[in-house]
Amino acid sequence: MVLEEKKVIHVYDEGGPRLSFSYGPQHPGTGHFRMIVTVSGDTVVDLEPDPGFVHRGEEKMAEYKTWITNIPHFERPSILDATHMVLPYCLAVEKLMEVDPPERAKYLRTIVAELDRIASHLYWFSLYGIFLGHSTMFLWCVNDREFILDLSQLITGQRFTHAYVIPGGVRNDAPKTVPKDLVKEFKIYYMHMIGREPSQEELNEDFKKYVLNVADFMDLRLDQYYEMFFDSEIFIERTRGVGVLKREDAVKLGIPGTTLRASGVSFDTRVADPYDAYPYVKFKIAVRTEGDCYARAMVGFQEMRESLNIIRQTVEQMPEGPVKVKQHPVVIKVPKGEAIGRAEAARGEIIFYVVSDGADRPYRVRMITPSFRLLPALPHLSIGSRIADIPPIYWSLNYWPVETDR
Amino acid sequence: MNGVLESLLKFILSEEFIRAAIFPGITFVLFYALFTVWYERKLLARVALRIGPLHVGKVAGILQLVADAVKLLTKEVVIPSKSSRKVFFISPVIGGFIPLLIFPFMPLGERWVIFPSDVSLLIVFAVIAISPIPFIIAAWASRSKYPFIGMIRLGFQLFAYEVPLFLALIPVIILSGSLDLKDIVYAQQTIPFILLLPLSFIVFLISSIAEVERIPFDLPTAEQELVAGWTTEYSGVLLEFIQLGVYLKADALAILTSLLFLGGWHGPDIPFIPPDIEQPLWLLLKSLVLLSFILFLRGVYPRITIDRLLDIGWRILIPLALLNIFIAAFLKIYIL
Repeated sequence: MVLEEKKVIHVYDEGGPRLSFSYGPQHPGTGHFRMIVTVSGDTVVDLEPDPGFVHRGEEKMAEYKTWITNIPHFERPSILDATHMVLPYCLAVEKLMEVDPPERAKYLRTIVAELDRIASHLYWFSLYGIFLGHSTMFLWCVNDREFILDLSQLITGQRFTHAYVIPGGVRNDAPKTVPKDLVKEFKIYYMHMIGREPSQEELNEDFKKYVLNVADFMDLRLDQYYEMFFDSEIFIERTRGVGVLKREDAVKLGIPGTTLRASGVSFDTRVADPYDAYPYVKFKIAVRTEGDCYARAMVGFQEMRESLNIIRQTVEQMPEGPVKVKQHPVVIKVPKGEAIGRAEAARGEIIFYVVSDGADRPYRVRMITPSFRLLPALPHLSIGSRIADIPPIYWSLNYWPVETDR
Repeated sequence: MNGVLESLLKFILSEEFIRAAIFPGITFVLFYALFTVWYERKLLARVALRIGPLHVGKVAGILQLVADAVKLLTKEVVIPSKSSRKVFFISPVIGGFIPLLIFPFMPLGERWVIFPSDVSLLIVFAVIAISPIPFIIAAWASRSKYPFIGMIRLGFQLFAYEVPLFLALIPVIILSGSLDLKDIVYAQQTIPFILLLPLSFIVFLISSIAEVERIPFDLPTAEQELVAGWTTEYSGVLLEFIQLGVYLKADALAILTSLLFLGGWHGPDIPFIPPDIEQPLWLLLKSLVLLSFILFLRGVYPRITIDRLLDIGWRILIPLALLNIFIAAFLKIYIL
């Protein structure tokens, strides 16, 4: 990785004594991650990221597990965004096996992946809020995330870490009907939040209608979020013009995902290298040109709307049919060779490089996670800013320590 | 023996004792502080689509705070090895009790004042002015990095906002012509000062929010930036004292604002209730409205940064407060 030279900044007490302190891992604002911050007054003169607190050797572990039993493991680094962690692995294995999953499986994968993206972004915003001292934002996002997770559970059987995607399809089909209790609960919550009955004709136990209703509900809630948080004067003041990542710098540092798109580069793996059902749906890539913390938040915000659009389209278009190819449920043989799988995870592009020697387990698996690629941006943006700007910069990158450490 | 009992009973039933120990005195003040915390949690829960405290106590989790206070009391007090132990221990205790000194001089009604004084306003603000000093000493005594940064922020913030807080008082003194809080309330019998001095009221309110470190001005304890700011090293009973001091100050400033600007205990007559009960009722109602406003800010706004905070303090609030003095003088000479 090419790291650019450290930014040099000028402070009024050049050469004077410096206060340097450990920002994490026991800190309410970092998670399993540490930065060693050196300040002059209120200005950050040096920031050294120190990841590795939750390293568990996922890549090495993968060499001792079979092709299928690896799947629940690969989800662990980012349980919020579990489908996207497995998807590129399955794509790579499918390339080696030369199988093509059935059409319905592709649509189901897309729905679950987009649900995960929304859930992950909601969690991102909830913590974004709490990092700026906005506890209401935290609780609103977490509350609404509940219905997205319920929907994931309905389809996959688990709220998150659903291990849903397997090489050659998905584990099980989506249900035809929704439990009565869930619909009733959703109706009450909808009434409470929006102030009127759900609009989609009649909300009933039909799966398709329920999904469309949840998508409409999230859309309306996003409008409320905009008024309450993103249009709030102090939120804008804390984030606009803070931590500006220029387009050239973003490209030079190899930054992926929402951060790259917030800096004005319109790159999305879903469009650049389409997989699953993405070629069949229409959506826009959310791009902003400012490159500051506010732009990064707004890219995520717009992406949630696009995800809802994708879910609506996929549910409408989803064909009937089988959801997986016929194969042994646990022991599969993968022919000799190597392959790469790419997908656009919530945090950015995730890449899996898989090598097989023809055995029942991988010879080598390499995960390239978006969070790790985001790491160089952190010192680049923080040096020269104030202590109070570290939380918005850190969290606007949508950095996830566990994903970095793997 | 009889004589002793009689005089003891006489003392307990005497108005002075009841005033000091029960109504405007210590019992009321501590219960009011507890109530504020409970009210804050309930109100914020409503904003954040939650229920808040629910199970402890029969009604709406009213005993949750007692449970929390007892829990804090049972916790170990961890004293950092590098800290100066005596100062570390004593200063939060002092800081917790100094705001209590505000209440004896603050009238809650015509009769409800523990220690009547001609200069009660001056005394009250003298106490408010010294209240941050033990906290600054406490943070200094921790000898730790996060408390150090928090302490610097605390110093900057409190000294920047005490100036407009006191300057906003001067118009009130000019209009009422007295330093006695009672006289100030009497002067508002017909028109509360908020109508005559709206700018002064706003300056005073914003400064008091900054003074009690509430969001959006909670920079000295900014959790996600500085762990817990200047209180980082404190735990258990010492933390309880700090919290007590902060909440007492918040209550005191809410009541003071209603005394100075909202007409104090004046309000429409309620039939069949004697004025001695009616007056504190109106005053507490007004202060509760103010308190709700202050607490709502925490649900609606994120935290602002230190440079912006100082900017607002020195460049906006102080000139505004100075301008108000001229407005008040103009009102006093030419209109009233």
